[in-house]
Amino acid sequence: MNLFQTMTGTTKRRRRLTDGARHLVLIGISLIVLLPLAWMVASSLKSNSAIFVYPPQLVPSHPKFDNYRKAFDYIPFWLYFRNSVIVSAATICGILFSCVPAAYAFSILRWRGRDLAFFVVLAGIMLPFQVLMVPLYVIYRDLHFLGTLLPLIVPPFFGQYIASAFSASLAIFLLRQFFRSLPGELIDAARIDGAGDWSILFRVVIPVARGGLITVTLFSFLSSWTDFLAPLIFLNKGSLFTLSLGLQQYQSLHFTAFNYLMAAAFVFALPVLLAFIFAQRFFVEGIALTGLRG
Amino acid sequence: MPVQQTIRHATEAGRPRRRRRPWRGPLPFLLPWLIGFIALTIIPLCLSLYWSFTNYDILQPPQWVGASNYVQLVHDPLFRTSVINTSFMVVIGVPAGIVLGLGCALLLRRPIKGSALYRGAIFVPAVVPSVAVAVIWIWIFNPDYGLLNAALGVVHIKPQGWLASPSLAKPSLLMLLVWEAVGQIMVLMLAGLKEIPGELYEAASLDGAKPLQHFRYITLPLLGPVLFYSLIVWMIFYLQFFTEAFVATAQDLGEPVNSTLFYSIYIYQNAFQFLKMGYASAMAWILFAVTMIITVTLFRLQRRFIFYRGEQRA
Repeated sequence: MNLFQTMTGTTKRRRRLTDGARHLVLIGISLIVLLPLAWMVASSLKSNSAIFVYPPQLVPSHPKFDNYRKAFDYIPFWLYFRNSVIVSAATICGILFSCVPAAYAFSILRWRGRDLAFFVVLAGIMLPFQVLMVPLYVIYRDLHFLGTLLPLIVPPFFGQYIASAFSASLAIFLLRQFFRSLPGELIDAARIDGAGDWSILFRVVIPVARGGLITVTLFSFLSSWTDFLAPLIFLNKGSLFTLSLGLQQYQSLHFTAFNYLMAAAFVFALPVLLAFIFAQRFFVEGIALTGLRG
Repeated sequence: MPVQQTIRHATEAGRPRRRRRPWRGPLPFLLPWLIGFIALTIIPLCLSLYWSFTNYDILQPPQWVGASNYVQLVHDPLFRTSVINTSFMVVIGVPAGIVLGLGCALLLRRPIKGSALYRGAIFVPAVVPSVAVAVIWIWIFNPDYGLLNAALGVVHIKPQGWLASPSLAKPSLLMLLVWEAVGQIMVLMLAGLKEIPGELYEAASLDGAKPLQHFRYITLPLLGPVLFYSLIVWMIFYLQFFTEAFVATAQDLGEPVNSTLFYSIYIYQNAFQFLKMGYASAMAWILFAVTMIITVTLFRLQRRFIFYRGEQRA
């Protein structure tokens, strides 16, 4: 920012002008980006007669908060909500359980073949889920996992999780980045005090690299809450549906209750939106660190 | 590198106690991951490769048919359609997202009042679940009561069919995907821009460089690694693109007139609707191979065009 301190008076005045222009452009962009979300909320409050009106009103004249209650009755909303919570909680716990020690092995521990093994993990980031989904379906069928939530609950505990924006391989990569940036003296000091690797992991690495664990937790939550393809393939009973799948039931061939659908979509998005608002820093840091999407 | 090695030697020498402890290697730390990797990645990979050379409908055991699935694919018009549709998304979606994301990042680069608010607003779509995004936009694109046609009506443009129109379905999906992507790319670009030392611009200004030259000769080259990273990640995303297209055309996958029949949608149909598991496996392996080939090629090319500072090439 040294550059701007050396500016002359004229350029400063010009900068104030361009700042105004920047505000205008940024406000414009923000409005365009937020408009679909505002439209979702507005639509969720419209009555059955107000929703199918042309031209549409942006702000409903008689907001109907009752829509939310009706939307929850339209489909087994809370059952799906519960399934989503179970799957997300399991994914978070599973990824932390399997990937934190693995990342420790790939960063703090030194062993022969480590870099090669880590390269295999990285290659896993490129592996399309489409290649695995057919054999996994058959494997889960033979294990009698189909008809339960187990196909989504078990794999994260074994470091196997692929969603469109996040994967267990990416979690290992991210945690390794955090662990590697810890000062080596910290770990050496613990070793000299006679600490074994497990106690170094739990007493030194995890407390100091808390930020990394929070980031991985958030991404695991975001991606498992929103995942679609894996639930679509493995959850073959209506009573097992997560919200991602359940949302489709508001649509039918001839009629879609868009006001209820928008209400449900809003409630579905709300936990992630709240997580984002309260932990924006970790999302932004995580993305900057790995460049991952979502 | 040499510095790192000396540090490693030094720390190992200063750690005499470690050698006395029974050293069990990394196995206990890797065990859950290793079991999963073998059972749920390596074995499925082998099965899938084998099945791609068989006819397999899940109910009867697979029958070896040699390369016939792959031969059949070449002559399958729907396969070709899905490749063209997916290529369209990659070729337009990736650059569009990167250009717009970079644009937003450049706007927010210099400190400005409320920048955190702007950044948050532009990023928000990234955390909205894809299925919710899809249904919001289905409603926006609604030909009769949707927001978009109403907005176009104000400026006297005829209402369009959007997702229901064979020529507009793909551009409509692109609009929605770019809406989701811009904020994420922007955040990444902002992080990249932060790494560029301000002195470079100062020096260039003293040499009389114009803002456009700053961008061309400093920003763009130094942002190279981040741009390259986004290119790879988003290319992979669009190659595997599935959810939004599936939700948007759930009643009739790939419609209208197969204009949204993307590669992953067609794999899904073959596997779980037509129960042609062998055929679907062959398609999946082609996707994997293409992803690898493009990624490796880009990595080769980048050495010529992209400049890495310091140790960034990890």
